[in-house]
Amino acid sequence: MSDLKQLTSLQFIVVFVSTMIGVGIILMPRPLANEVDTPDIWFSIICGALIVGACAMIIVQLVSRYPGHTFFELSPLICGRYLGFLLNICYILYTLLVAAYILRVTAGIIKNYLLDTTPLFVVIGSFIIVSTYLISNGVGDVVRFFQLYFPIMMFMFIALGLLSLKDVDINELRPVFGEGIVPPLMGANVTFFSFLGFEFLLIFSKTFSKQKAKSLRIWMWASIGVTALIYMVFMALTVGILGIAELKQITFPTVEMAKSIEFQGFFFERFELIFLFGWIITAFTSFSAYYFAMWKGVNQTFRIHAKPLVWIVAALILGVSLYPSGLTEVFEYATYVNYAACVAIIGFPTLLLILSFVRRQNYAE
Amino acid sequence: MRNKVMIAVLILFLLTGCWDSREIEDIGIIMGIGLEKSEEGNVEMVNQYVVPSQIPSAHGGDSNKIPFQNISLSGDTLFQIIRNNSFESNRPPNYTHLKTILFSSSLLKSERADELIDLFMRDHEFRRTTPVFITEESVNDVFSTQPTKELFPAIQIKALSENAGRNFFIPENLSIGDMSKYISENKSFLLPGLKLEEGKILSDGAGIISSDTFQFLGWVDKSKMGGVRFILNDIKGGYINFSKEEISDGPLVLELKGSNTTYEVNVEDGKVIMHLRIEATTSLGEDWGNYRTHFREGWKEEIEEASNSRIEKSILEVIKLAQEEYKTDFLNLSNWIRIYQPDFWSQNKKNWNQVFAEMEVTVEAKTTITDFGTQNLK
Repeated sequence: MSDLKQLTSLQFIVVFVSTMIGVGIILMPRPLANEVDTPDIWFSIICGALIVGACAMIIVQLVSRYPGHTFFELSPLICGRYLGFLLNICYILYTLLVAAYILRVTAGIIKNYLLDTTPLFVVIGSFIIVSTYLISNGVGDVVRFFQLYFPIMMFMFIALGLLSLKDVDINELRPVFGEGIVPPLMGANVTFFSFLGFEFLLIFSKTFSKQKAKSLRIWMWASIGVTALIYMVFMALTVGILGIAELKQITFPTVEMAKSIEFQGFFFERFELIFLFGWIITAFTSFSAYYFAMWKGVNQTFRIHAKPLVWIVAALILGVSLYPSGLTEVFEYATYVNYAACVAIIGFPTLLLILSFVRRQNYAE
Repeated sequence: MRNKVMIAVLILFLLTGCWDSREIEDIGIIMGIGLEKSEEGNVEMVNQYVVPSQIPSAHGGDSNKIPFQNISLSGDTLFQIIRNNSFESNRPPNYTHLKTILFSSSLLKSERADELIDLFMRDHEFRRTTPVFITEESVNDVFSTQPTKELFPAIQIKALSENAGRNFFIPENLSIGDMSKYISENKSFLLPGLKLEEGKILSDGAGIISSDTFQFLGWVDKSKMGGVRFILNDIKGGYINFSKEEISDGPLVLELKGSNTTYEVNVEDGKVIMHLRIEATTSLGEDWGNYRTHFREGWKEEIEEASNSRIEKSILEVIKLAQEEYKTDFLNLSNWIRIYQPDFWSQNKKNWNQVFAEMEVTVEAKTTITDFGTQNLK
């Protein structure tokens, strides 16, 4: 068992930024460019962040009424054993889907740029094995791992940002709001999903059970703000370097952006490899969070705590992530994952909060 | 304990790091790719391999050795040709250090550029920064020249633009990434050109790729490149030369220190009026006229005037070429319509080349001479 008791504000932000930033930072520009089709895609991030913030507030409200309870503990408390069980199963399936999706996309990127002859299941399998080792010891280790790698992740983002700055063509970002404010507003339905991970307020709740709702609110907005800022910078950079028309066609825009870094006469090329090493950790943290949530869910729903069972969870994730035959299918299924996400992170918490109000339950001291 | 020892021994074998390693001599590092029309009518691809053992060493080797090998094959697709290189060479080609992609204009007359670069954009081994060139010569001949300074023709070609900041008649390199950008934005563009003269590779204007078919349309002479670069606003430096006839008591050279072009776009009754304003900062580079006293006011006006009209003339010449002869916007002027008149642009982007041909362009240049050097000869 870990020695970690309560998160400090900085730890909280680190954990949530690490879970939120994942495959989105590499994949998002393309669907976003297709949706918005103007260079203002950075503005969609702000819109998405505001909606996400609002949703997060619902969850904060719920968490503060049941301090220290995870989703899987409070759903039977609120809606009874049977309905609660059903909700839990749905939530477990949702975490399974997202975990498998993150894993498959990450493996796809690794296979495209780093290990093109390694079989897919080896890439995915080794990812799961390492992650299993991390999560099987509980939330404390997960948090510490996130903390440990956060500086590396940030360093990669800042390094990529600074190195790319030279190639930015400011004219690609113009005209600002040339087609009005509506297209970038519509982009919020893409950017919203790149903030997935904030719902783990309901999973990591033990680690901030003593915090007041007010400080949770501030911390949550801060985490979303930091994430949004990083996303905004990257959206502006990808548009500024690749242009909106090109962005619509590139599979992994951010990697391609890293690939266009070159300093002539000075042996500095192939930064995308270094960036990918850093980025894999980001994907790993997101994945581990979902994996941990699923494991926690299985634990608490079925009331079993035998550690070897984690391998069953791992096998499930492996199976689901290997199911799509190619990246086309993965991106196709992503839409369904998004629907599931809407239900799981907006629908469920809202439902639970309303029921909790109706039943006048409040476990806060 | 025994288990731990076993694991330690096992790890020793697993972590050697030589798994799948390849000696650098066994990798066929490709420096340049040349694409040409083959005799059978399909694509001929020249791959320039590095031959590491032939690279002259610093301690005086035989400098007559040729450090590269060109393998030229033809086929329907580039991938097929690359894999067929194995018929001749046991070194699998590796494109991570590719320096140059060279198209022959005859190939681009019959094949589409967007189809030809598909492999380069799709395959992860190619970088977006590799520069692209076009030539009317045989690609094989260009890749077989032996440059004096560089070891490889492919590097020599890439290095041609290194002085583009000192001479505005040399086009800036166009990377394959930018080329792909122009193609996805459906724009015409210029590919930097080169030619062979007495066994030397020279920069020579640029080739126009049309947005309708992405095929080669025509040539912009190197004397017109100055105007092109004023319009593209990528000038970092250069010179403006005035002959004896053009200026009193010449010849005289202005060194261009920098130039900035601003664009003004107005739409009146569905007609686009574009106004280019060029602000050029120059200094006196060389002056054969002995009567000018640079320490007193009054000597600049005539030269500035001449420079203004020269810049204006060179720009209008290029615009006339684009509007009347080729009827396609290879000057990226649509960018400014998109930025300043977004509504007009979204209505007219489909038939932009037609609108462009009827567009009215006015130019106004303003030259300032800030410096005249360290000594006057009188």
